[in-house]
Amino acid sequence: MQDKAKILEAKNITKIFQNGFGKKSICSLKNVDITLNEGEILGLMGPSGCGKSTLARILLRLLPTDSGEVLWKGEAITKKCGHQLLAFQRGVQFIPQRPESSFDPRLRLGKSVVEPLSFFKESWSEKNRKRLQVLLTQLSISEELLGRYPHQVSGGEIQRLALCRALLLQPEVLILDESTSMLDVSVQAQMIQILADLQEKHHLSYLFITHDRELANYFCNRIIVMEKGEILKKGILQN
Amino acid sequence: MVGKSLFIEELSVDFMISTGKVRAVDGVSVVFESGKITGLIGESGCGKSVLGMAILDLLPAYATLNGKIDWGEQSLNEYSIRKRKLLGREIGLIPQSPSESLNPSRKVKAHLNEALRPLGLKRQERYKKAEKLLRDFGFNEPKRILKAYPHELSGGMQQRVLCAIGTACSPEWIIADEPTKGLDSELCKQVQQTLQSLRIQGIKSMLVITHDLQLAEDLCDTIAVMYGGQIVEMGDVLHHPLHPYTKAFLDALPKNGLHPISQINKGVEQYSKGCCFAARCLKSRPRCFQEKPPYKGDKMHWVRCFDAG
Amino acid sequence: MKKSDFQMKIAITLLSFIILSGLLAPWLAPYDPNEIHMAVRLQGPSKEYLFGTDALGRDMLSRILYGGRASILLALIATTLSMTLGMIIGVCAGYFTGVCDIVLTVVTQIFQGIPGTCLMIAIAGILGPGMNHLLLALVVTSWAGFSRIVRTETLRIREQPYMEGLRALGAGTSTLLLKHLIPNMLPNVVVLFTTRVGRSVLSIASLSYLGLGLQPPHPDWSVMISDARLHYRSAPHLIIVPGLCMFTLLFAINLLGDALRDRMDVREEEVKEW
Repeated sequence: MQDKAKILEAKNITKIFQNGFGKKSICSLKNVDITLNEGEILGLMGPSGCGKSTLARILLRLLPTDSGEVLWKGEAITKKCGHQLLAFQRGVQFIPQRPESSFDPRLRLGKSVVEPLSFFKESWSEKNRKRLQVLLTQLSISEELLGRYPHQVSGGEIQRLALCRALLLQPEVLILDESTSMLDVSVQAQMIQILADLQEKHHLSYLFITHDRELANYFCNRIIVMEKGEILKKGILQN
Repeated sequence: MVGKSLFIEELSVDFMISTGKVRAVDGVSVVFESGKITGLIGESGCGKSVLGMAILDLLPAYATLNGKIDWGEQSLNEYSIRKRKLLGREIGLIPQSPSESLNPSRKVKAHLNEALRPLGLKRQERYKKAEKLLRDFGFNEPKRILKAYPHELSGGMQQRVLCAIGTACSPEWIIADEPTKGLDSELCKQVQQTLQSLRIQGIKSMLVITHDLQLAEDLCDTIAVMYGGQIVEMGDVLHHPLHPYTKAFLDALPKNGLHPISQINKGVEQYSKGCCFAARCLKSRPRCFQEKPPYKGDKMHWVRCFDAG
Repeated sequence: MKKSDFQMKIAITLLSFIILSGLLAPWLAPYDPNEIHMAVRLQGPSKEYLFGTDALGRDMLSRILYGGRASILLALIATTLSMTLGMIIGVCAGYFTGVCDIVLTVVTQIFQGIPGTCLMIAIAGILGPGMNHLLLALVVTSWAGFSRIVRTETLRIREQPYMEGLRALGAGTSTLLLKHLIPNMLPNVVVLFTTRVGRSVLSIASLSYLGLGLQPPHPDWSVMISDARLHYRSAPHLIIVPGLCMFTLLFAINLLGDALRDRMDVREEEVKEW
């Protein structure tokens, strides 16, 4: 089998949280190595408190690490910040667990969805408008929803809108942190279908964090299990 | 001793909101038998929590109720304040979201005191009863728990405290409203064990409202499936599903292949005169949109569908 | 929605009435507010002098019409300045935390610890009367309260999940602060603003009453109340009329604040084109 390119990697990550005035320290992650290859769906499983979300945040550079490196397409980005990280920030997107709290409650969804383009100094051009239309069709989002506020749409709809917002930036990696666990069974099924379709169409790689074993077995190419901050075993599935 | 069953006849619950009337429960007729644990499953917005709250008369002021709810031979619709106090003692509630259902500024002791007040015991006796209740639900140090505030306890412990509060007056019926919502898999298992232990406590009949199929399968004797405000099927639905919605719902599980249910056809009226699932059903015929489907089957397993049975 | 609509209408009507009559005073006032006419002093309301006359025979109606202007204008400017200062300090302290927070909080607490009225009187007293000094006194004593509340709100909103989500999407600090943090704070800040305007009006009145604020013969409601001290027993209209005007103004401001806060709550808004 061809060796796939490594798109996102973490090497030897350790993270310690200080509680109070340094009296109590909690070792959240210990020497964690993880590699996401191009075009694959990597499952990350473990009980609550094992460090999955912390690892996700470190990979997204939302949290600094105490030791270790994060590599994006082979290049170390742990020490970088500001506009050096631009390509990385655009390339890796995050879909969180609680759909309703990922949008600013005071903005209409349409504004929230196109806002990130301005972070990367892109204007709202005809090209972008067309891309948005295509995405809305692929995600089965009616344009009427864009005029609503976050609290006026259902859980499934808002998760799809979060996807739309992320995909508008043309990322290469999506980190999905228990994105379907708050959804109903049938809505979850629909969401997974959409994710599978999108992966093909847009050549994406997924880091899929979940605690549902059956779901991980169905959806992921490869599964990593974590417990108490350490990687337990790596399961490789034939898919 | 034969307990009292819950008889619900043509129950409808409407909410008056600024844009008009919304029907949350649409002509539900069902019998929840005493001595059994009945599961009520369905997805968000199907009306199952509203049904549970309607039985306990805990609906908000802008809800209107039509139809009959009988408990044994007592009618629960028209009642006085006195009868309502009776209700709290005979039918207990275990609400959702333990962290939101416990008053954060009062200790567990205060909560249990309040729950035990209808029994009319003296203070010492009440304290002893509270301790015994906590011990029954698996707490090894009830004294310490009684002195604690809700936020000092973990999620699972809070849920067990809620169960203790709900069963404090040894009610005949318990209605558990989404006991595992938002909890992770370990806590779910704990809650399941707690609810199973309720049977040993002497609670004869339970109505468990949930969207967690695993819990329903392990815990319940019979399961009712709700969609769009109507109960479409009741019986051993997880192993022998008859209604198209139940079948589609089960097909959407990861272990069965994650097949999504087809989308709602646009242009179809939301509250049609016919079957609530007609707009999304692959087997629907014109008849399904015109008339409400009949009840087919027997007491053990019935379904409302023109096609099934 | 209905209740806040109704409140809004009343508040706006009252405020427009007060502001308009102040603006149009040069045309509406029947007499010169400063013209002394000792022959008709301390007269009650009559056909010629609708609100009566004061101790120096000046027409009360004309003085009332001119009187609102200074107070309202000053109060608005003072509250805006102290709110701006308070917000800058509060947001910096709440958002950047660490040393910045500690330093700013200590400074805020020092200012809050000094009794407001005393400080105001001290500043006005030392610097002497005059609009600028009055403004300075008002701002120095009220920014700390704003800052405290803004800091708490900043801490609360900063922890919201969507703020983290936006950071992950690549939002910069200025975008987060200006486009998301501050707009989410606005409903509470707006209500705070309106109550503070009310308080400023009262503070100006107190200082003027003590002779440290606006000076006679400047027609101003608080100065009029102060002037009426000697004569109100025999001529109660001297206090009642300006007092009622002051009350109406503060009532309208508070009503407006409540209604605005309700209006800004997006939960009640309808679906629109985006």
